[in-house]
Amino acid sequence: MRIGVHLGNERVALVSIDDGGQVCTELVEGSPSDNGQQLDLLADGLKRLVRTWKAGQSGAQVRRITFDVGTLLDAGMAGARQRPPAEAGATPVLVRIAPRPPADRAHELRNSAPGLQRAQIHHLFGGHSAVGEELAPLDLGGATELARRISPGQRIVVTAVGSLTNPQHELAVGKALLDGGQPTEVSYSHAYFSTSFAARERTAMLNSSLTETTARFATELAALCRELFPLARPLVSTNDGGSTSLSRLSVSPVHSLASSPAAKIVGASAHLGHREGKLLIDDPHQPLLGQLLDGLPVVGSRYSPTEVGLIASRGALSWSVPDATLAQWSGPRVHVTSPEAVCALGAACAPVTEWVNTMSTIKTHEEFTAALRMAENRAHARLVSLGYAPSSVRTAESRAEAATFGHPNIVAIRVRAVVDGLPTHLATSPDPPTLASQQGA
Amino acid sequence: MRLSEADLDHLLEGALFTSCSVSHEWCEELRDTALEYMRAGAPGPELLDISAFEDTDLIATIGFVNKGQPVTELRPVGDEFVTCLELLAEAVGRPVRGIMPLAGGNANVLLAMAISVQTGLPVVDADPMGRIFPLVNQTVFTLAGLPVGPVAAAGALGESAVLQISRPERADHVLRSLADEFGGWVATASYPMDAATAATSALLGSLSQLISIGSLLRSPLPSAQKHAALRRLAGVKQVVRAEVAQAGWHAHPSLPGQVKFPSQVILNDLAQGRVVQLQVENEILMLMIDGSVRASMPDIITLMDPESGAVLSLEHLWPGNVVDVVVLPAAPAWYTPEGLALAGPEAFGLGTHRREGRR
Repeated sequence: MRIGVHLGNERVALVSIDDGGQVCTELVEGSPSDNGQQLDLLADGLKRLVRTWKAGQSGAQVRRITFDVGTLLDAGMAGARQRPPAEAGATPVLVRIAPRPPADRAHELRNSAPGLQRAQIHHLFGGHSAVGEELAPLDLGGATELARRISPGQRIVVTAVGSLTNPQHELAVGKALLDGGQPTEVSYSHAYFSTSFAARERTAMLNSSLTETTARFATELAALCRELFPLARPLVSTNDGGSTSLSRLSVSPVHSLASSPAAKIVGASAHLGHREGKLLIDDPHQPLLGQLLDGLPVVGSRYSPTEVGLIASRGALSWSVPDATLAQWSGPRVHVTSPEAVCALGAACAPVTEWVNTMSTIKTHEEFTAALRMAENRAHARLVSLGYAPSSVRTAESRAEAATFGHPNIVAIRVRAVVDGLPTHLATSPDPPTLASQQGA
Repeated sequence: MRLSEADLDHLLEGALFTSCSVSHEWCEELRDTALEYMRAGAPGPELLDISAFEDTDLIATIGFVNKGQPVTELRPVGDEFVTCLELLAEAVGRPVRGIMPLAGGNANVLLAMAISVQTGLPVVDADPMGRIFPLVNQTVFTLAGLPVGPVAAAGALGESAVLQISRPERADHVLRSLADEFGGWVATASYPMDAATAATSALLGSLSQLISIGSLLRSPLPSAQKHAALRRLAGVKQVVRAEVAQAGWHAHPSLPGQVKFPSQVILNDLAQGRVVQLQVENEILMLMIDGSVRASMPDIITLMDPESGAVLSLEHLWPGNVVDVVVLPAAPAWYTPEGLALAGPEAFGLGTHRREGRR
């Protein structure tokens, strides 16, 4: 049996799917003001689910429980933006490593992300070319001096030119900052895949602003899982409509910030049994159009959260639906009566996913094929190392991504591997609340 | 005419429309750089008709030349083009009075605006390509037999050079090598000429047309009305609405001065079930439907969203997505025998393909 949980602003939705495809839903009402209350509501809902199973004499073992926390994270960010800067929390200190600093303030591009206007930005010499060669020697002395000047307790984001190909300068500066100062955290932009310096920095800043909250929350969720379902694998939904280990919520919460719309697409498609093409999710609050390819949401390499520029996280593509389109739509449509339950169903169905995004230097077509195979093997190996059977892992996507005016010998490789295992047919419980009604094409 | 923030947004949209490429970020960052200056109190970029200049005013063409490092990664520090213009003025022996972008599409258009705000130099409402081409020598200036040099070049590492080159095709070779050495791209100021010469050889009015195109694209008009208006304004034709079936991006080494082995995207025509093929290398080079060439270089082939009429990038060519493929003609100079030799299908390794009903 697998469980999906959607933690919303007004209610917690829980959905269970047994190995026969039988779906049960529980909704717990409440408007929690903090994470503690959220956990109380969640515990309540889980216990009710267990009582329902026992009443139905379902003795199935819970193998995985997936949390969709995107709505909560997004609400938290929106709340932080509305508070005065002093209350909203400190903006991370930015350390930018480049061959030369900007000649003027306009070239610091402080309008490219919220919070940059008031951010401390420090420049260090360094950086690498597209093929990983040093453009300028790293100013390690400057990094050591900087470590002494930065106040203790700060969060620091380090971004270097060319770090995607060669992260050495970022790592060396990070070490100097940790050794010589007392930062709370040092984040590195090379953890996020993008050939845009600004997008990587923005993503690392956003992630850093989320980790303090999510680290505690993830620990508490894990403890609740252990208490109620000690043998279940705890997972968290991700922006691409997949899922990953709950422990990653502490480290890279930015990859779960938009998980709720993605989970809604997955849930709606599972409910309808729709695996290819566009799908209209007729949510009375926010109708959404999603796109499926081989049962998975189509994913862009970046997405743009509200009021933030493009960030380097793979997000399920979705579109808001104008009224005219809603009226004229003749394709597959799911009429949603409980959006939270659809998200929870999506969380339950979300396949465990591993991505490998890498820049590879190639000279021939054979080298390109070999680089692709290597990336696929890496993605598979990661999933197998997490305990999934090799036979359950498949490559969902494996290709090169286009790059304009790039180096002719460097190609961006993108591989997505997933763990299958969802029952092929879902049967919604006849008991209310009804998950969704459907209209097929 | 002083451009406002709204004008810059329209110009951005128009510049992206005429140069369907992978990512819009580079253009957006250059627009943002101009906005940073404007929000700090600088007047907006000045866009002037060539007739506003004295005949002997020196006009320079500015643009990035890339070799591997995106400008969004190794960002300009802000003195590169200032250095280029100073070096060029010194080499020619008189100050630069106006600038124009090296290409009439994509980032170099927004670059010209950012440099105008930064330096106070007006931008000539003109460019030497009328669209974007990959090589520095693929300009109407080359067709007119005008020298490319002297060329001033500067990189993000603070290094610079002045090249005494007259043959445009040699300039591309040398500048690409410099770009490699300078970190992955180089800022250039080239094709110095009197305003009188620019008046007879440049493609006049190209930038204001981009603003008009962008303004239309950003309007709330329904998609069908946008198509009709674009046809009247710029001869844009909606060729096919199709669903992407397969997108194979290939990375093949290309020789200096040439582009080879374009990637291929296959789509299915929604209305008639025809097979649509796009050949792509940095931008869309050729459109074929059921094996027949419907458009090819130097035609401008670009993508629009069927619902909103918004400009799409090559990133939107993912399997299952539906796009409108539209075509607009390039400047007439590109359809002459000399123009086709420089920037037609054969120059892009597409053989001797000609589209149907060539003008």
